[in-house]
Amino acid sequence: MRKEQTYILLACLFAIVLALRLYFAFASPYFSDAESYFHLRHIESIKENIFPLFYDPLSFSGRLFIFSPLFHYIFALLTSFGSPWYLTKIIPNVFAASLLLIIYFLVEYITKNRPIALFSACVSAFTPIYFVETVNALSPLALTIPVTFLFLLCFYRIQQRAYATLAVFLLCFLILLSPTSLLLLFGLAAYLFLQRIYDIPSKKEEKEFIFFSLILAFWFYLLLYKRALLDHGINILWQNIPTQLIDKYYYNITIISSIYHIGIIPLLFGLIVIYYILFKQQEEQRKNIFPIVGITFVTTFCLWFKLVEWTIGILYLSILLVILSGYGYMLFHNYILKTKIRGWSNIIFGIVFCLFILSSILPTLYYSKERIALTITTKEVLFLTFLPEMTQESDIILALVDDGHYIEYFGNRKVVADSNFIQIHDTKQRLRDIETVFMTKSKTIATRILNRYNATYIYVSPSAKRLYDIEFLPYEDNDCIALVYTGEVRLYKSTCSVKGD
Amino acid sequence: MGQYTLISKVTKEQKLSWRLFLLFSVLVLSILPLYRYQNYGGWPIGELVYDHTRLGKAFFALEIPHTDPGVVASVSYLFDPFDLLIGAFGALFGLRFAALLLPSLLGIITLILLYKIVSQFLPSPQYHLLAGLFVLTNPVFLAVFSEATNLTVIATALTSGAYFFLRKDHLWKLSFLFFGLLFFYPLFHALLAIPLLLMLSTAREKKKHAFILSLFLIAGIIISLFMKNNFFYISTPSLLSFIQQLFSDLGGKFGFSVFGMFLSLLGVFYLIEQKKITYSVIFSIIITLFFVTFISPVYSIYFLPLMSIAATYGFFNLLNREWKLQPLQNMTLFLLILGVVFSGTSVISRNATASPSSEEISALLWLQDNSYENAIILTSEKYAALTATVTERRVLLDRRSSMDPRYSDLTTDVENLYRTRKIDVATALLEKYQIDYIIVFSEMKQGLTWNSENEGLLFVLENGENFKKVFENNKVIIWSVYY
Repeated sequence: MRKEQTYILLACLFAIVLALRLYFAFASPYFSDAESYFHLRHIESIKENIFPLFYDPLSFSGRLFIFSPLFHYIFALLTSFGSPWYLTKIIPNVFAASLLLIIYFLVEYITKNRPIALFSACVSAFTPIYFVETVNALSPLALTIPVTFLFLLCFYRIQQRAYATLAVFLLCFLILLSPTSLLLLFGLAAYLFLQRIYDIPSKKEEKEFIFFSLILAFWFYLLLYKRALLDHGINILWQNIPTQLIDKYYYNITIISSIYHIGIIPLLFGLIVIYYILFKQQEEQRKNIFPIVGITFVTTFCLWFKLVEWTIGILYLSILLVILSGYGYMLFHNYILKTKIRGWSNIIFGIVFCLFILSSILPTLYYSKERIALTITTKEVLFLTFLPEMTQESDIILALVDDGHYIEYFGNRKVVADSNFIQIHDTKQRLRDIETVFMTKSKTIATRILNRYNATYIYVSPSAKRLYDIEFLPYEDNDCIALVYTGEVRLYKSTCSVKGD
Repeated sequence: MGQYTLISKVTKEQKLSWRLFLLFSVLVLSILPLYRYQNYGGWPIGELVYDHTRLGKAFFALEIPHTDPGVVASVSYLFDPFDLLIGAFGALFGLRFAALLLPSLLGIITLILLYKIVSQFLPSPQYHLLAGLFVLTNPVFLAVFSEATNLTVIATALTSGAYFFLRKDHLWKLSFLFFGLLFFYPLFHALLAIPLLLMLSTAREKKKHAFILSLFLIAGIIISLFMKNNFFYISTPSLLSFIQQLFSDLGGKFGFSVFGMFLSLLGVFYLIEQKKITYSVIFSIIITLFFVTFISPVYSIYFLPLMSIAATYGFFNLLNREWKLQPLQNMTLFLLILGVVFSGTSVISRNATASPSSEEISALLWLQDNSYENAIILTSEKYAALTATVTERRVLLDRRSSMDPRYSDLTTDVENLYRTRKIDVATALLEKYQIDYIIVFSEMKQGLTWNSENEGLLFVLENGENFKKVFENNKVIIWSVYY
């Protein structure tokens, strides 16, 4: 296949993927996760006051939250050139779709085979978990993942000065963007370790670069999260997520869930290639693929021992397996060419492609539709936008943790809890109390809890109704806990106080 | 490890290195006392220091105590040289000033001696200076010499002992005196001093002296075992809590800096490559690591000299190595140094603002002025030493009350008192021990004693007629009990 032909096909693929992504993104006027609205608040704050909300007056009724705001500054800058609503939908999808270009160049560099690189780019674009998680969300992942693999591309060519400089720049960018860059850096350290095990002489530049990267990342994160580290110690790895919720973010990796989220083609070829690389191949061939294998090992280890959030871990793993599967398909193809069925290689490729459509493209479309269906409804948003008129500015609202960011963004009101638990000391207690308010039949207990957090309102969203299987709070009356709004959502006002505990 | 004989003629470079080191030491170690003096009225940080000052004061009032005068539960007094030292110093400069200044003073002495010790194992003045600075910025060192506790004396005694042991003149015998001080403290320290001696003797050819000193330590340990209760306790912490304790950046009080540890490991690899690590060093490291892991993180003080030497070698190894990506070399070294310094400054700032706060002290001083001399106070064991010393009144029980034969009954009663919401039960228990004041520190309501504002005794205090809130600020509430 000629270079020009490949590039045309690649451009077409990029256009198709972007169009498909935008189709889903604009299927709803809102983002599909509450976390996006957390980012949106910071972006808007930067546009208004130059700074993000390091002191957030609404989250947990007012709290200090230290994080790296590079992502928010980038989006504040990019969305200042047009309608933020359009741009916050388009830009993350452009970033996310650009991954296929990077994967193409990365696989081409590793395999020296353009059709296989193109196939890998196609697989990467339709990795179910990656597509679903980035299609209708304002998430740093949409930027982090492409930059991670662009960095890897530069790392492969670190011996050239220009690439070394670009790698340093991308490294700084990645570190500032997201702590998940540690997965990549530990993965590269594992790569050095693998080289040592297999007695492969490592390049001096690579060793130096990995050493520097680790020092820089540690230094930056220790400095940035110093207070959180002192507060939570090693538990910072689990973001201080209370035990009641930990299973929602960190859960076991299983083969079935991997097939669902990654797709059978990358998983199968990826695993075969790992086996082949570790036990069968020659030193020269190993060299090229070892960095990817190293990062795959570290990601799998972290997923296995629940050291990384499941979604993030599986996202990285899926893309890594796509690259490995590209290499794997090349080996498979070369093997076929040595056998008597070499004439059937095109048919075999056709079968593989069909399998890919069945196991990746179709689930991607199905999951995306499902995700869009779960987006916050217009009625909910409409109600929340009226909150400032129905409540006082100082009022605190007790709601589901998942609804926290929605209330903060649309309603501009303080909440008892949202999903950012770092540097909050009584997360367990808060979660228990929220659950009690929704479950209890006792007005006194509910009022006591509301008093504890100085909360005046209880917000019952459709998610809360589903989760606790309730329509109304059983203890509502017109005296202490009064229903002030009813519709798709409900709002209760508490007017009493209880003395004693 | 390799050895470098003391150079008889002091070079200009050595002088400069020494002066710089002394300047940095004095500057760094004076930050905390100056800050406390300016912002906290000179009240030292920590809890145990208040026990030492109270007992030191009793010593110099010639009331050699049999029991602790500040606690109702009778705790038989065990002599501690630090009480004597703080008392002597207090007699000259005032007790509060002594407690504030003594850790820094002992820290400077220890640093000077450590500088002299590590210099004997390092090749040039730059190495000496850097090794000294690694000790100075080590979070373990800063934690030990921020707060006046037994560990401050133990660290100084160990360093002095090691320094005199390394001397080639007759002054080496002074090491008996300093190592002998260890018998007044948990015997693990005397036990750990033996591998330390073994390590030093292998490097400096002083095997005979090490043997005599080890015999002395073993004899001392055996005698002490018969004289006092020493518990050989072993705990098995989880891997996560062990990692947390190991690094000060993760909140470990006696933990190391991540970057310091990193440089040390680099240094260790370099020294292994150079075949400069002897079996005695490996043995000492393993023994100390065992103590740090299974007994207490405080034993990491034994790693101080080793770590600073290894980190120095690690740093110079990185510096002298030829890098292909030259600009990254300078940046890496710069980041490492910054990391080490940040860990140190973080410990200083954490300690400088540690408890007791000005509000806690002002509440206790108020009680001292507004209570009668024989008043008995109930408060958390954590705050008992501070309360007894500042108010000059007796507390019902403190951390060391477990030696009292009535301890089990006492703690059951106190626990019942904290938990009960019945006013008559609470009043009866308070009357039993004639408690006049109850001091509630804010930390007590945040998990130390209670978990919420109206739990147990807190509810009784708010609603009972026999109780009156006599003082309140952001950190402390004082309740008076009327019978």
